[in-house]
Amino acid sequence: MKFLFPFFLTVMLSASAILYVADDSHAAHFGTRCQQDFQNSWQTNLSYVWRRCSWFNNELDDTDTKDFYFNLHGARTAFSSCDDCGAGPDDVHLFYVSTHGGADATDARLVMWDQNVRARSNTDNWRLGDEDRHAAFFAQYACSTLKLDGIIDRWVNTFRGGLIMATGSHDKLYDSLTTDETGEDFADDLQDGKRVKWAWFDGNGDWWEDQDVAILASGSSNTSAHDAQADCHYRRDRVKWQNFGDYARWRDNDVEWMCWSWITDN
Amino acid sequence: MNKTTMLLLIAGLYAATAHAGHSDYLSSLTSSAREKGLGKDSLELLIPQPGPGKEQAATKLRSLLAQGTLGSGLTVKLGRPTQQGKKGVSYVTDKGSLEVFADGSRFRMRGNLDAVKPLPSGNKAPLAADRLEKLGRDFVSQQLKAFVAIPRGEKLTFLGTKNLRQGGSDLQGKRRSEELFASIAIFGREVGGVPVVGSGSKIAVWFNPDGQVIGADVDWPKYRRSGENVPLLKRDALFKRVEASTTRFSENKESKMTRFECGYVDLGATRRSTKTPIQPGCSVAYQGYDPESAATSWAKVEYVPAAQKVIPDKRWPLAVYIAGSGEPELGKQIPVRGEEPPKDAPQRTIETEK
Repeated sequence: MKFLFPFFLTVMLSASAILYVADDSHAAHFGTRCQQDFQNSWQTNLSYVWRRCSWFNNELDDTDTKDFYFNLHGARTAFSSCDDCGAGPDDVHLFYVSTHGGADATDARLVMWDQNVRARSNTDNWRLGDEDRHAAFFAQYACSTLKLDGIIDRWVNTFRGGLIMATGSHDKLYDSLTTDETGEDFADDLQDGKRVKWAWFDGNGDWWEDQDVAILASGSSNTSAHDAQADCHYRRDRVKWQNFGDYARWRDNDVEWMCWSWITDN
Repeated sequence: MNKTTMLLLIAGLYAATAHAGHSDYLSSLTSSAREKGLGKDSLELLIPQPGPGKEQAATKLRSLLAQGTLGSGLTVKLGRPTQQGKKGVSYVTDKGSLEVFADGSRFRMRGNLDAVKPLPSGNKAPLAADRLEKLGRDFVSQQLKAFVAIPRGEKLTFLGTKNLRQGGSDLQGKRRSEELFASIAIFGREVGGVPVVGSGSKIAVWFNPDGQVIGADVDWPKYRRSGENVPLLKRDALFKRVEASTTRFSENKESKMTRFECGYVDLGATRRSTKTPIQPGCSVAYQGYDPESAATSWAKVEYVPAAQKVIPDKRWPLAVYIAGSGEPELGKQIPVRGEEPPKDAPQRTIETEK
């Protein structure tokens, strides 16, 4: 691994033109949107979402700035990309959502409160990270949004805005009495200075319940090493809540590689 | 249908939904619970004993980590805490970490994960489950012996394995790669032949692809037998309570029960109290489908008390409800307190899909 540090420095220097530095690296901005019940019970109610999300907020706002905490009523358009989307992932550095999730051939999908409405990655033209706030992390406590088969097609356009990492699940995340603390634990691990990958894995782990945790990052050859794969691995494995402002934002055709990590039962 | 046929059918149904990493032992818990519930008329309550204290446990563990006593993959010098609060104390560096929670009966430690050399898929088979079990048991009984007491009448059980994998690809999918980063052996506990279900009494030992220990997660309290036996619900009454609180045992178009294990319920260190006994109950995992795509869109685990007279536990809403209000009603959700967000989020338009 010795080669990586100088490599990283070189990446940073050579990519300085597109470097984005968080406007306040000591108090980054986050927002939370969650849903526990659904209009006319069109989806099964969950029991522990309000706890999970409010405890996430209560922990992270000890050190950082909570811009909003809202439900998912009429929220589909908030997931699209614009400065005035109003309390969506593009409005903060870290967006945390907990609801039902899924994936189909085209989209990663998050279930809204509104009957028959889902926010959809490609259909809704998600392209996160290129608005004023420069979103960095999209954390989803929801099933299957990072389903591995077809993951690139579902997510690459979202990353073309410069998003650094999506965290979620390739299969199932359980709503349970013993996973109501997962938001708080994730936030606590971020504050500890863990890499975001480990914060997500440790914060959401439960050795009794079959938690399927996963993360996704992007890479580019637009570095002095010209190695998109190595760049992707570096970002996947190294980025922290405290240093994401140091990372170049790969946008549009800069995104050449996607890489992921996951804990599975086989 | 005779009993053997029924058991085979139950095992077959479970196998269809089982996780590949579950041990035979863990799988058998569902088969057994589906057949007979807890299989007992009564069960002795357990009293969790106070842990060593998070600071004291942290001091001892930091010393072991610094000395290399836990193995070269778990050798790290940790300085001042990165965080110290009500929930725990943590020491996090890029070369290793330690977190100790609650009363010190739960902790997580990691070595230098940057030093792990992942194993490319196809190069060599990852460590087999029986090998991981052996290595894990050795680590628990030797390196962790000061933290994991297994008194007479208790047993360390092997629950299975998980793997941490990583992969990536160019956007065209032409250079896709996959690697094994770590394998994890998971252990549980039996007390008097009764399994402990829930997050408590669990150990996960992390191995790099070479079989070296690089991490461990431990939640291992000491229990005292209370001497008080509580009568248990008969199987039919228990199943009625389970179905009212969760979902039907038979698969239906909305949901499917994937796991059902009964025993002592220990919800983990942050929910455990020396003032509240560990009581009998069942862990019920079930999942549901997106009505549009029929793909899994949610998954739940609920813990259902199994005693005739349930002891209220302020960290267990269903136990509080049953103790105070009686049996749960089918389809009626037990309220769980949590801060609901305000409903006045800025909105543009609500779009309804066709």
